[in-house]
Amino acid sequence: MDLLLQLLVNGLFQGFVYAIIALGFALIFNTTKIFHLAHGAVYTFSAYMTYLFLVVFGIPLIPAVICSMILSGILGALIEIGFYRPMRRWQSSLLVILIASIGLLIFIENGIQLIFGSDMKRLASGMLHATHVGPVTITSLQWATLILGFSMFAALYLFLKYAKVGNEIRAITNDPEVGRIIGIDADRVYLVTMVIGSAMAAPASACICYQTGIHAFMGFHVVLIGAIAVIIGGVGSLIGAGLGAMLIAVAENVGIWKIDSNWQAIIAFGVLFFFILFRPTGFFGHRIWKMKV
Amino acid sequence: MEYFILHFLIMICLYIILGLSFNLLLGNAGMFSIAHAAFFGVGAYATGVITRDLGINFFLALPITFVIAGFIGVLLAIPVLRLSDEYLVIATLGFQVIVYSIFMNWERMTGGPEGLAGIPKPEVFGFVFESQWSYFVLSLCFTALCFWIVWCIQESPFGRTLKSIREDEVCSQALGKDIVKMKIIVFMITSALASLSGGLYAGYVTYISPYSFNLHESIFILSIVVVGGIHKIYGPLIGAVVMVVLPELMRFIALPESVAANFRQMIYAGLLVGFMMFRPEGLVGRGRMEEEKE
Repeated sequence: MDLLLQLLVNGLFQGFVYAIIALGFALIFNTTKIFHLAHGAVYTFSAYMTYLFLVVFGIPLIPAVICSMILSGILGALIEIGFYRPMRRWQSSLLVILIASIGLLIFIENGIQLIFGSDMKRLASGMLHATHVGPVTITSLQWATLILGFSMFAALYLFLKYAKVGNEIRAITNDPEVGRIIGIDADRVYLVTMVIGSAMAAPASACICYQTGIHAFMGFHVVLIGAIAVIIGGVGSLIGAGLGAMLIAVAENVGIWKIDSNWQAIIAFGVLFFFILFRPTGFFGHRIWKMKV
Repeated sequence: MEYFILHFLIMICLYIILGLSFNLLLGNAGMFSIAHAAFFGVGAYATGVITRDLGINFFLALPITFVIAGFIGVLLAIPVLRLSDEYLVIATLGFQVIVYSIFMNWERMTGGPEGLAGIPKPEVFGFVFESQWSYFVLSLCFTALCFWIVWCIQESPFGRTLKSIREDEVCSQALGKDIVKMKIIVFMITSALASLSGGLYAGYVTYISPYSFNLHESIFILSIVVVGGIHKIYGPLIGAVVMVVLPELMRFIALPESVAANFRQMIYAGLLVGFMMFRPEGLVGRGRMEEEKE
């Protein structure tokens, strides 16, 4: 029983990391309508940048993460300006952009492996002090993810609610047509969205650096979890995406209790198929199988 | 050298079959699935297990493989039918990952990560398809057969209905077409055809491991179709030739093997992105202007 409780707590804390990724993905998907699978590559890139600054250049943790946030924001901006913007101009269908996004993901991942090599990189986890809450052990890293998750969500919420650009993002998300009519520069909004969403990947990937280590092809699984979280949380809802990510993380961790760990990779998709079959409306009642127009 | 050239020709044939069957799904029915390597693998494993463990002749094993793969195709089709676009992509991707996990972990049947070794070569009336040449002729025959089947489907009323579903689902529904049934049938046919390629692959290499049927393989098959051209039946032919040969040309540039693998992946990913940006209709597809005129 204690084990189950511990796994549940582990899942919840892991959920904060996934939720940050899912939030970035959901923000980009809701606003630009692009299924930005290359977000996985941005995530991997930011992890390697954190590693680079921390280990190779020897910069302390927090400035290193900030540098990595800036760089991944720049990568997001490059993807938007170099690929998505021209394709949007040429009226490519969203599926065509999706395929291009998969191509970008593979390209960047292989580029990273070419530069950094194929071995697993791991940061020394000197910061793991365990606290005991009842029968459950919680490491300081887990507390950090908790704080990070909540603060990222709050910052994003406040930004979207009160900042002028945030309001513009919400307007374009709601209705790009009307947004343009009242004079919002949609291209700029898309760019800002991509930068913010991409930068959000950096803190989450820094947590993963400490937790399990990083390798060049880890992004695909994580971006898929983000995508599934968006789908089961209901498209258009940021809170839904966060909750979806939490649910997947809990399912993955609690799954270890009864299911052989070799099968862990499919648990997220099991959750997805469960939702498709039995609760196709997602958490908050949006239909899964048709996009909101 | 002859060995390598024949090897490429055989692989091109197998990929043409995969591309043709995938094109039926993507080009004709407009359903975007990333699970084709799963069916490729199902075909390979089913044929491998049936010929090796049950001792049934290869040519009798193929029809059984079709039935198995077709059944699995229907199993996938039923839950994902209602999904559109991005959701279909993610759901089929999930299916791909699940099938890959089964290949990896169902050790009694598939041999797990070590794979399945010692699959017998195809044999008919005492003649064994042992040499490269004979196998090339065999796969060429099957490719031609597939080409003919796909062509027949495209020209049939069924194929035209599929096209109408691609263009406008609601409209063809309004005309009284049972699109759910159509979609299930097309999933069944494409998975059966893909499993044919898998069976040929198992008989050719005689050793299969899960790594040949992972997500990247699915994306590679996707890239064959989109580089070749989605709506044309010749598309996958050209696409398979380009996508198999081009990365192999890299071998002539002396690169260390660890780097070369990444480089090849980058080339095909780059091709994928480039084609999607500048020529989404593929090499032999109609231009955008022609598309509009119709």
